[in-house]
Amino acid sequence: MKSPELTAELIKKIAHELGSTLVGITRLNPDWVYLHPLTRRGFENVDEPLEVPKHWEYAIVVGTPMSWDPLYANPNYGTSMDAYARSRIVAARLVAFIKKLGYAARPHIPGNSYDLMVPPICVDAGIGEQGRHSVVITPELGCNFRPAVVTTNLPVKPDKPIDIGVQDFCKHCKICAENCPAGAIATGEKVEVRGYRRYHLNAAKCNNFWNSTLGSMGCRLCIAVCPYTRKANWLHKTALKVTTNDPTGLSDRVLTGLQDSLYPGPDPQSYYIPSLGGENASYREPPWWLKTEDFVDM
Amino acid sequence: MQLFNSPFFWFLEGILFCLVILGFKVWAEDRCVPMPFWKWLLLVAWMALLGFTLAFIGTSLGEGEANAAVKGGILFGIVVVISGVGLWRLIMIGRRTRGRDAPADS
Repeated sequence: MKSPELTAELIKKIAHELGSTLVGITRLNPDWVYLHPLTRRGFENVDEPLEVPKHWEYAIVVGTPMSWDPLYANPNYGTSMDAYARSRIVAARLVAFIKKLGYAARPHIPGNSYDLMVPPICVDAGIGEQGRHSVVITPELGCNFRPAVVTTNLPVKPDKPIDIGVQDFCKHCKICAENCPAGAIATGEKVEVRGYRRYHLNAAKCNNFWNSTLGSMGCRLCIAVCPYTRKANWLHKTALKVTTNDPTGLSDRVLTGLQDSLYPGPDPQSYYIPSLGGENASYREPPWWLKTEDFVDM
Repeated sequence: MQLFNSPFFWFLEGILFCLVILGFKVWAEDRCVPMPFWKWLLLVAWMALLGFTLAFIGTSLGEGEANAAVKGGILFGIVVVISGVGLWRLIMIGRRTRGRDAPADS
């Protein structure tokens, strides 16, 4: 390759051509690799700690958005699979392209073909910042996206982490924590987890609720209610511009208050299924094509 | 909905805005209302607020947020009305009557 800069430009162009909305590149931090490998990925003994392969020098992150209207109708009507499917196709094609260039490449793709943690790699690659709900928030899509990663030894210029004001915003906002039916998102300060400061997420509580819903499996309410995930029209784009560029933090609080009062959701308890004391509620009404009662004679 | 995203819509919007401003200018001259620059500035600011309120309602309805449209419409609508009344009083400052017989409210 002529230069890492040109290669980065080429990889980003190709990834966008292949259908990715987001692309970022970073050197792979071995801290983000799982201690033990997942099965069926070519590692001989999954009980032995995973030794990071030498060719996993760089990580290329790609990401595509989930459909907006079903996303707002979570937890009953949304799905991650539309975006996961697109992202994994992009990653698989990108791997094929990199191999054609003569370099090693491995896709880390959903559902369970990962051997590494994706959110911190997204942060390193400048895709976005990690929010209170542990999901990465991007300037383009908020947190409405699903990523895939390609590890490779193709020499490529890494991107830098970005600062779009998420850390300050999440400190005061807490809308995701207040709306989380499982109470899995912390309302307090950041804590240190394995040497890194982040907001604590109770993954067990999150997973329990995730698996208790009746819809297409999952919850994603924290993504649906996040102020950064509102549709990218002039109104919400302006609000984000103001909060991002206001050093006093005053606009954060005013706009978070407006978000709370203008865009309220159901009571968090009502998201549970009736047998668990809820009403099987959704954050918003589903789009017409998901209201199957209009089509199915019941 | 395509109309609202098209350049033609903004072309029409610009023509309408110019007509409103021109109409106001004619009205002010006809009623002998002096319009120094600060009155024009306040008037344009108020019109921007009015436009914001209408656009907020339309955008909220467009993205399926009827609750936001109603609450935001009331909230910003009240601000528009109150500031509009204040602006009207400011604009009327220095108004001259045309002649001795002209009634006070003409």
